[in-house]
Amino acid sequence: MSVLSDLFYGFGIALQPWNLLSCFIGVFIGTLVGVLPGIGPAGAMSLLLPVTFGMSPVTGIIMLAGIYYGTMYGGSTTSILVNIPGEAASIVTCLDGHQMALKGRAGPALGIAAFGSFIAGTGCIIGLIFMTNALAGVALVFGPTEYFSLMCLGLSLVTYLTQGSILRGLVMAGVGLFLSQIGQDVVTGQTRFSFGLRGLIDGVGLVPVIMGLFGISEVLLNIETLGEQRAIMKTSFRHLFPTWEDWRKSAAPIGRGTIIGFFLGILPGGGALISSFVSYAAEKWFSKHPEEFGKGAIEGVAGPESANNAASTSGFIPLFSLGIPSNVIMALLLGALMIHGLKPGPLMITERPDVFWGTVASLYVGNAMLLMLNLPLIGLWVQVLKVPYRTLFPLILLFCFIGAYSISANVFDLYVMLIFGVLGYVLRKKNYECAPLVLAFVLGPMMEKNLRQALILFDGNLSVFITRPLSLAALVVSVLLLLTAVIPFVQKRRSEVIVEDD
Amino acid sequence: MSLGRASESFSLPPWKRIMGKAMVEKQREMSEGIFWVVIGGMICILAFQYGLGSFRAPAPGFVAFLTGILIGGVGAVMILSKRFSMGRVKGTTRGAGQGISAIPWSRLAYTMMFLIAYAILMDPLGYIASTFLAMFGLFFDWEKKNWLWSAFFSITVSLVSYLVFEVWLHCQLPRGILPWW
Repeated sequence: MSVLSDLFYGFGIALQPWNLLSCFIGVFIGTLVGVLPGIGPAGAMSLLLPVTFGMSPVTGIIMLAGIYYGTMYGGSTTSILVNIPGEAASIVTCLDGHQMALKGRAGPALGIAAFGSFIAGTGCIIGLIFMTNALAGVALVFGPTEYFSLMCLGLSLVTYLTQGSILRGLVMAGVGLFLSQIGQDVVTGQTRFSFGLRGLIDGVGLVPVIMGLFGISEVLLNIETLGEQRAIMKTSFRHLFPTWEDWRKSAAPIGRGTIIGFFLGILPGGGALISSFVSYAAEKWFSKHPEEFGKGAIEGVAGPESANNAASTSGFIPLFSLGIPSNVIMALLLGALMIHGLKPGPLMITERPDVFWGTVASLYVGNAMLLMLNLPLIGLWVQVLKVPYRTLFPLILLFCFIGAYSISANVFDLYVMLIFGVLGYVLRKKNYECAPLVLAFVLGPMMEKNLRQALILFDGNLSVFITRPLSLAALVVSVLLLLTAVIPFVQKRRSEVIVEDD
Repeated sequence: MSLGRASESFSLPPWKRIMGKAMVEKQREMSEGIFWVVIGGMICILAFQYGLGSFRAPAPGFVAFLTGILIGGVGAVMILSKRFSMGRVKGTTRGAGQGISAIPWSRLAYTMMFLIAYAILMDPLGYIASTFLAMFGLFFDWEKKNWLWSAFFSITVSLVSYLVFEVWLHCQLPRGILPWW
């Protein structure tokens, strides 16, 4: 009953005019970003982060969250119509979604993607409410040792699940940790690693780093193929609603996709991308006609689209209950919450119920908005897709510049963004993933603070990390995951799985 | 087809032909490991300068030192794993594995030049003027020579973005040479 009244309280906040408007702007921009290849949710959220400074925390977070799950919806449109995923989590939708479009069934493909996402998003909100409350209750007894070990586990999982070499992922995590050390020491306040640059006294900014690694580098990669034309399906959108037969085939995949996405979304590094792949594999395994997959099976659209949306919702659970982000987007949201003076963690639900319950209710409102936006506005999104990249990329770069500059009105942040843009381009060319770097960069100060607190608290006794059960379990799993980097058989098998997935 | 491949292999320097592509790749990845060992070492030295403290009272350089060890250690594992194995993990990142010669360097350099100039000129010239110049350069197509189109788009984008971000959303953008805006 208490949960229900809290949820009503959340709806009371989410349905306030300003919050409704920010939710609408968020999901609209999110869908647009999802439709457009070349700028991801991290870039779009970084751009709008300074805009939220003038808003109340809950209004700002509602808008940023809307961008995130909006991209999941929008990404499916490009996958189905152009065979280009607007967002990484929609890669798998290309396989059957585009095949359906080629057979003249683009409407039902887009329809089931939107309905599946809505159903999954709604289902996950219920899970989010109960799981966050339960986890937050448990997390109250966590000390610095547990937090440090859990963050190690989070980083290890993200590193393990990166595409390509684990060693490269680990190096990226190390670089992110070092970058997070630049600036003032979290305990003594001493300035370190600033190399005499005034701009580095407060450390390297999160937004310029994300804008550079995900915005500028993406544009640099895309302008390599500037002259190439995108072939957009010419299809009728009169019949967007799936038939009864489509619903019969899709009901179970949507249910399974929701469950898969929900649980994988909670895991650090799991996220929308992995859950969509796992859901696709599961549907192929469950299907009586697996040979139809890749040739336009609606189950291959319904399952993964539900899974990626479910994962984007359940990713909020570790953020709100433990204060630990599970992926780059959540890391950015964590940064946004901290800029607004909030401390995500077990106490946030009781200390700032307006932010927690308001955001949770807005997820539901946003999902309903997306359903209404996506189906009638599909023609608009198709028009957006026709904008040539030559026209688009200067605008994306401009948004990156505005986003990086307006955080602190400092040109130094623009230089940082450009440096990270070039760095991101080189790293991606060399097969290095940027996600572990960003997550380590965000978790770094918290990891350092908890490690040093634990050491001071227990008089330098390192055994405290292995005598506490939860800390031990987290560290053992982390070590086992990272050991696979040096075991040739596991490394080979893992790389085969990633190549198969691709 | 076979003639093409044969001529291609003859165009390779002799040492490359002897070692084979796999060996060259292996050597390249080993040099990557060496690079990270050096970076890790440098971080350790820097961290040492800020003091490491002890386990009972860790100093500001303590965690950075551990980070340096992690990066250097992984670099060492990279070297060792390449030293003792012939196989290599397949990369899947977009654009990876593409030959350096296939990258349109002139296009990248042109774009970067405008971005760097934009960053440098943003404060002295102000948002509107610097954005106009940067957008003009980026919109301009050297093949089509679309001067008018680029100028129109650049002015429109500069003014509309100024209205949206500065006037409506109250972002702090530099005024520069146009202080009345």
